[in-house]
Amino acid sequence: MLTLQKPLGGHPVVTLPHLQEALFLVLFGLFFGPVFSVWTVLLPELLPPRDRAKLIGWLMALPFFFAFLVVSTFPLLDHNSTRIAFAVYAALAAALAALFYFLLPETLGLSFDSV
Amino acid sequence: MSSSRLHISPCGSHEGPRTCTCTCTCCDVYGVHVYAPAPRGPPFFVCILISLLPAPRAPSAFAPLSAHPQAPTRDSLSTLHPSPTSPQLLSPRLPPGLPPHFPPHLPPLRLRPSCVALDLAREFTGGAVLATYAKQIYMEHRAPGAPPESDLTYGLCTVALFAAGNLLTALLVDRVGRRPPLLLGLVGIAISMGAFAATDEPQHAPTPRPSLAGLHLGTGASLRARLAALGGARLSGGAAGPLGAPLERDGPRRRLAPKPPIPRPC
Repeated sequence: MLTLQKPLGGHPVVTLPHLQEALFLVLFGLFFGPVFSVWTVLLPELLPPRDRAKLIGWLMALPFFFAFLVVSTFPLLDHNSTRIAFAVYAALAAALAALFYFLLPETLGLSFDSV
Repeated sequence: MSSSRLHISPCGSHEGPRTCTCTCTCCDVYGVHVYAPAPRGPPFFVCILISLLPAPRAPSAFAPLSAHPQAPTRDSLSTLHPSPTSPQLLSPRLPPGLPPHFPPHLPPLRLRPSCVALDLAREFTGGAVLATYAKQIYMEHRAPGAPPESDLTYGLCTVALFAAGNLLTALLVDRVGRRPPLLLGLVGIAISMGAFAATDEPQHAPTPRPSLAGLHLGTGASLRARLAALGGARLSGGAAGPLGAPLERDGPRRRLAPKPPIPRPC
């Protein structure tokens, strides 16, 4: 186990498992950025031009509803349930990746009619 | 020059007939102008009712220009095209007799789950939780000897990487496409979240988490402690009631010194 010591010896400051957990969550920020950015770009491209404004309004309200659900239920979990919650988030991300791999078309360079 | 033509007053007043000595913006003549009252529009609630009426039908936005009778034709000297999203050119796809904007057109059947899944990916993969509870989560997983300031540092790093990943993707999304960054991001989220859940060791540093279930921890506990201290002071060291019970369990409660007896006069 990697252990970082204080310069003059003494108690261990940071151990590798503790550093790993923080780094995993920090890395999550790096991976969440593309999802948010692509969501912003892709959503208007997938909607029909005629009712794009109305549907974007609905589809922008939906994440806030989801965020309310997630943020309001997370504090009710105790510590062990938090692990389960993060595992559920991971499974959901993997399932969505598979869904997008099979269903989502590449819209780069396509016209509205082609989409 | 006196004019009764209807135009906007240069002095900004078009409430009714009045005279103004200035240079007219239309005829560019200096003199005394008489302005007729500007026409007033319908009241606001009438405008709302008008906006609810169905919009006029029009040919498809992608139909040839000859199909649009009111559309400007392109001549050899003009590059003006009607906008594809212009309300006059939006495509009518509903059967006749139905209002054109309700219910709204949905995307094709194959794309509908993708639209909702994009919303799910934005919020149900932990982004909202980390953005809200980052400092709390890092506090719970702080190393035993690490300083308390490291929670805030890790939280700031997470938010900074949110922004960095967003900017990086914005620069790349028109070069590599939409799918690769999205799939990479989701796979990365799955790996990082799964690894966190797998390596998480419960309760490194037992810290209270603000709970919606009750006022046992966090700010609620602070409030209860203050109330308990206040109640204890008023009761002169007696029982502080139900508010003081948790504080008494956690540690010694501040008690006031007993008052000296008042000497009775003989």
